[in-house]
Amino acid sequence: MTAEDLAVISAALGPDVEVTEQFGRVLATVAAEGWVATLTAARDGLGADFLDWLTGVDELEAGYLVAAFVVSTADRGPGKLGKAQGFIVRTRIPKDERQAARLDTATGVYRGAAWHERETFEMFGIEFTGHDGLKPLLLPDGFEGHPLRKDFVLASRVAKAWPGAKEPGESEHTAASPGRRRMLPPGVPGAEWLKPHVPEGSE
Amino acid sequence: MAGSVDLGIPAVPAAGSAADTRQFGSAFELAPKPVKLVLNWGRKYSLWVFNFGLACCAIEFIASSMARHDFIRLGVIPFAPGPRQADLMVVSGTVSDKMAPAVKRLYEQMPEPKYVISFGSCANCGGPYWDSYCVTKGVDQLIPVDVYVPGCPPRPEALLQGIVKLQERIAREGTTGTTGKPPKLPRPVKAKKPKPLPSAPPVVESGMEATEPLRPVVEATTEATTQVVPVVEQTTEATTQVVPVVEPTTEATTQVVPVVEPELPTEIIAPPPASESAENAPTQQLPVVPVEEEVPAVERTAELPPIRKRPPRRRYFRELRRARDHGMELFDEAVEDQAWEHDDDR
Repeated sequence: MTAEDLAVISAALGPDVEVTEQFGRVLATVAAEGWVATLTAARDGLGADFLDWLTGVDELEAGYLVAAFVVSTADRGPGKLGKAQGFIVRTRIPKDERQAARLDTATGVYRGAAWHERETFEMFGIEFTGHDGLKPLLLPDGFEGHPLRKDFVLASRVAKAWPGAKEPGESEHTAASPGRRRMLPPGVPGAEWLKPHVPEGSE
Repeated sequence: MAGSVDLGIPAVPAAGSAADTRQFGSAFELAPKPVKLVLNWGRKYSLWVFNFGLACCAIEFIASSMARHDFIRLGVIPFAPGPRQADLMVVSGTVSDKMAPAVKRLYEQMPEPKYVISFGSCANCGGPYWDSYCVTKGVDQLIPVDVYVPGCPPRPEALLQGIVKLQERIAREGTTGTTGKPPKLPRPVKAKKPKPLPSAPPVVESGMEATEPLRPVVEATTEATTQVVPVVEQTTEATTQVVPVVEPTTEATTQVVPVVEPELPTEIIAPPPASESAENAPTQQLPVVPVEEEVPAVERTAELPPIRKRPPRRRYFRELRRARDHGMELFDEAVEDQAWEHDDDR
């Protein structure tokens, strides 16, 4: 997109939205309070009538980042989006002590966001207030936990070590070069999972 | 939200319960062995297959059902109308926990006897999704699997090999005691009266007979574990020369009746660790059979060696060669014609 397009999007979305470009994709970053208003402005003011996807990202201490990609399906004329032009609207919401978070639902703006929000709810545990029927969509019945959170521990990785080298120097094929901060890939349990199992009521 | 069916949560079957739960019907169970062989022969060449295609491995399954690989020539018939008309289920692809109840439900709808081929790494063990939160780590956690085909994805030839393996397995069913009745053990050697001892020079003709089965075969122990003749425990260490005489009995097993010649200490065949009673061991307490020696005899009668016949000489190689030569001639002619055209251009 050109700089004029950025200016058009920025003018239509208002001063509270920070419009940048990254890797050829326009990003409209907004506070959580202006989430629905920004989506409404994108649909009505810019003609982005199609919600492509909506998902989340677990950014650890920074909270969750919820992003939605909205596109126009036709050429809307001057001052609006062209055909197949779109941009990402994203917001960052804080976690509480239970790693949960909440955000207003976008289903009032885009009806198609309902299933995306259900999936984001079950994968990250983000509650979309105002969404009716916020129940698991893809996970099997009886699944506990939110598997795309970074603190979700994968049971297979508890039982089996991560194959290959995680750090420089761990592989037997390279010369040992220790001294870096040890880190674990997401989902790999820490040392507390390796304690022997103590049945309840034994002490 | 009408029409949602509660499929339940599958339970993990007990290990090794695949062959035990397979039912063939009372007619098969009571049939004599030749009839079982014929029934197995018929069954293994009419496998109506039900393709549980869940991921990219299903494409390889489709490829092996098409003209190039064509598993119909092996008697595997695709496009079963449904699981109730199928004999074989090929689980090809990633089984997720959400799909698992459906896999188990459709497997239970298949009529007995039914067979399962697990096709591809995902169906075998989870494959690249071994640590996923939603992928079942192998379809054998849900249903008993007969043949595993490794690969990611396996080639169609691998599926053909798996089908051949399954057919070999079907051919052995009901005849080797893997289902139903336990394998029939040969009678203990004690029950038979030993032959009278030969006179002072060692028996030449029985020794000649015994030379071949005396050779110990090491690798055959796994084959013969189910049919080992119970060994009398008072094995003497030295001063025994064992001359077994092999007599095939009517029940397709053999009994080795050794004859002990106490006077000629020749070689130690089976040294037991405790050799204290070597000297006072009664030589008349006859059936002394080292384990290694009876293995070849039992194995020879238990399973016949495959008959290696030269395959008939095939004619179509020559015809293929002729066709190829004809094609090359046509090609050369065309090249020549083109060369002439180029000459005209010049």
